[in-house]
Amino acid sequence: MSAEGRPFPPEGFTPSLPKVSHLREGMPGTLRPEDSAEYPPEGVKPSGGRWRLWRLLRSLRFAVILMGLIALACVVGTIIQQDTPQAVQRGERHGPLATFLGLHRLYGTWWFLGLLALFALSTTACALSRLRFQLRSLGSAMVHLSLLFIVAGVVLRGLVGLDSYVAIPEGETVDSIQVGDDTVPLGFQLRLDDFEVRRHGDGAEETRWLFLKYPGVHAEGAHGGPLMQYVGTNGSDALMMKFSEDTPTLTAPFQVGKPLHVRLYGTRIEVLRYLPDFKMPMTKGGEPYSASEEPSNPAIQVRVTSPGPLDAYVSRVTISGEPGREPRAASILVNQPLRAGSFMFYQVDYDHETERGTVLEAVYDPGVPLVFIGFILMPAGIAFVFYVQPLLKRRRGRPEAATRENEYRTPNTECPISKSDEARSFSRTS
Amino acid sequence: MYDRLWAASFAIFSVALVLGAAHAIILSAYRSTGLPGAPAWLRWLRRVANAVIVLGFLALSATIVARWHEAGYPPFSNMPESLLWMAWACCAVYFVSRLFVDFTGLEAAACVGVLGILAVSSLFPHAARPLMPALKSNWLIFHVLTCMIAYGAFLAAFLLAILWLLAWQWRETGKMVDALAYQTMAFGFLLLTIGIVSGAIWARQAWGRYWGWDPKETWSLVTWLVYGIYLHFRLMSGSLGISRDRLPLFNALFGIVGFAVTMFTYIGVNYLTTGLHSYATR
Repeated sequence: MSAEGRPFPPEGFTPSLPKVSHLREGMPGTLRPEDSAEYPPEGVKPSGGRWRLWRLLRSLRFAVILMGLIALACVVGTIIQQDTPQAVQRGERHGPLATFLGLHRLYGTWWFLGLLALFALSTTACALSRLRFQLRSLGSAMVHLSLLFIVAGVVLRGLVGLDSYVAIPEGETVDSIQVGDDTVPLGFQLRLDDFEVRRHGDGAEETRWLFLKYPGVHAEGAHGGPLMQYVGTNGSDALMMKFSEDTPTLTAPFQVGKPLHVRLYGTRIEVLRYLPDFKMPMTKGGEPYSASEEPSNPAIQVRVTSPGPLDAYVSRVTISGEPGREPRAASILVNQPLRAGSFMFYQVDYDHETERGTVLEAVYDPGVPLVFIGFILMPAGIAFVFYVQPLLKRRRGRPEAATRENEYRTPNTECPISKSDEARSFSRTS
Repeated sequence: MYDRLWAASFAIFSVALVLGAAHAIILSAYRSTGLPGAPAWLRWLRRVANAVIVLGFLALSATIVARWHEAGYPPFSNMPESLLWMAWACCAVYFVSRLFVDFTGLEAAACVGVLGILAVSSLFPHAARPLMPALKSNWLIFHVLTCMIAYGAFLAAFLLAILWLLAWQWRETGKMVDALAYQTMAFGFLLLTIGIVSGAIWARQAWGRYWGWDPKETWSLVTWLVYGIYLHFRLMSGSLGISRDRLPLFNALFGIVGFAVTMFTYIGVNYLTTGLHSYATR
C-alpha cells in the first residue's frame, strides 16, 4: 500500500514499459528479457529516472505543494509592484536579484510559467492514474480536464494572440494596428464617425485662490471627479497642473486680467483675478486686496468647474471593406465590444483633452473558445462531484460510502448526518 | 427607508444573538451538571431565537429591495451593498444547514456572522453613487452575487471552524461540525469557481482579456487554490503522517486561514493594492 492509502498500482492501470530491445541488459529500470511483461515483477522494485518522475507527477502531495507554490508566487506578485507600461517606459531598474528573478514582471517569468506547466502535467498524471471510465469519475474528470483546456487556451493566446491600442480621432480611419514593431493589417477599414462622453448631472463649480508661491493640492473635483493639483509656475505667467502622479504636467498660460478657459480632463479653469500682494481684510466678509504692486504674495482667483461623474462614452464607427459584407455602422461602449473580421474592439479610453478621440483595444485571441470550454466544464464538474456523485453512490446501494466511518478515508461528500441522527446530537431539546 | 431597514436588521439580529447565546449557554450548563432533560421553556427559547432569525432574514431582504429601489441600480457596486448580500448569504447557509444538522450554538454562530458583517459595513460610506461605465453590465449582478454567496459560505465555515475549536471535546458535535464545515466549504468553492469564471467572462467583454493578473483576480485565484488544497488535503494527509483523529484540526485551520485569505481578496485588495478593481474604494 502506498502512503496515500490506496493500492498501488491501482487496478486497471498498466504503465507503459520501456522497450527492452533497445536497452542494454542489466541497465537500471529495464527488465531482463526472460521476465514476463507482468508488472511489477516479483522481487524487482521499479526503479529508474522515468519511473521516479512518474511517481512524482502522480503524487497528490506534489500537486498540493505545487498549488501552494503557485499561490505564494501570486501573492508576491501583488506585493511587489508589477511593471506598468509607464514604468517600463521610464526605464525603471530594480535590484540585481529582483531583475534576475523577474519579480517585477512575475507572471511572465520562466519559473512562474514553468510552475504552471508542471501543474498541468501533475493534474494530468494524477487524473490519469486515479480516474476510471465510470460515471462516478465523470465529475472529477471534467474538473481536471477543464484545467487543461484553460491552459491550452492560454498557451494559444501566448503563441499567436495579438492585442494593441488604437487611437482614432473623430473623422479618421484606420486599417491596421501596431503590434510591437510590426504593422498588422486589419483586413477592413474602421472609421470613427462620432465620439460622445455622457456624464451624470452638471458637475460642480468652485472658486478659490491659488497662491503662486505655494504649490500643493488645491482643487478637488466633486463627485469623485479629477483632482487638480497646482504644481507651480514655470517662471513666466503660466500655471502648471497635474491630475495624478501618472499624468503629465499640463502648462496653462494665463494673462492677468483676462479670463482663461482651459479644458483639462473635462475640467474648466477660469482665472478671474490677480493680486500681486494678496492680503485678507481685517473685517469679516471683506474682499481680499493687494497691499502693493510688488509681487511679494502673488495670488490668482480661479473658478474650477468639474464635470459630473462619467456615465458612458460611446464610439460610433463605420466598418467598411469587410470581405462579403456591406459597410455597417456600430457603437462601441465599455461592456459592448465590436466584432469585426477576426478582431474584437474594446472601448478602453478616450482623448481626455479634446473628448473627440477614442482609444480602442484591438484583440485577436483564438484561444478563447478553449478557455471558455474549460470555464463551463469546471463548475459543472465540481457540482457533479459534490451533488450528483453522492446520489449515484447511494443509488448503487453503497450506503457504506455514506457513513461516518468512511468520511475521512474517501472524499465523502455525503453529509453523514441524517435526520435520524438527531437523537444522538448534542442538543436533545429540539 | 433603506437606513431604517438596515438599522432594524441590525437590531433584530442582536436580539436573536442574545436569545441564541442564552439558549446555548444555559443548555450547556444543564448538560454539564448532568441534569436529565432540559425544561420546556428552554426549547421554546430556541424556537423564539430561530423565529427572530427568520424575521431578521426578511428584514435583510427588505433592506436589499429598498436599496435597489432607492438607488435605481442593482445594489452590487460598493462595499455596503455587497456586504448586505454576504450577510444575507450567510443567513441562507444557516437555514440550509439546519435542514441537515442540529447542534447547540448554531443560532448564536449565525447571528455572530451576520452582525459582524453588518458592523463592518457601517465603516464604509453608504451613499449611493451612479454606476461608472465599466459596471454597466448584466454581469454585475451575476458575478458579484456568486462571489458574495461564496464569501458568506466561507464565513459560515470560519465560524464552524471556531466552533470546532471550542467544542471538539464533545466528539459527536465535533464530528458534525467538521462534516458541516466540509459541506459549507465545498459549496463555497463551487460558488467561488462560478464567481471567478463569470468575472473572467465579464472581463473579456469589458477589458478585452479574461485574465490580467490584476491583484483582485490574483488574490481570488489564491483563495481558490487554498480551498482547493483543503478539498484534496484529506486524500493526502495520510502521506504527511496525519492521523484520522488529527484531521479535523487541520480542517479547522483551513477554515480559518481560508477565510482570512478570502477577506483579503474582498477588502484588503481594494485598500492595500492598486489595480482595475480599486474603483471600489471610492
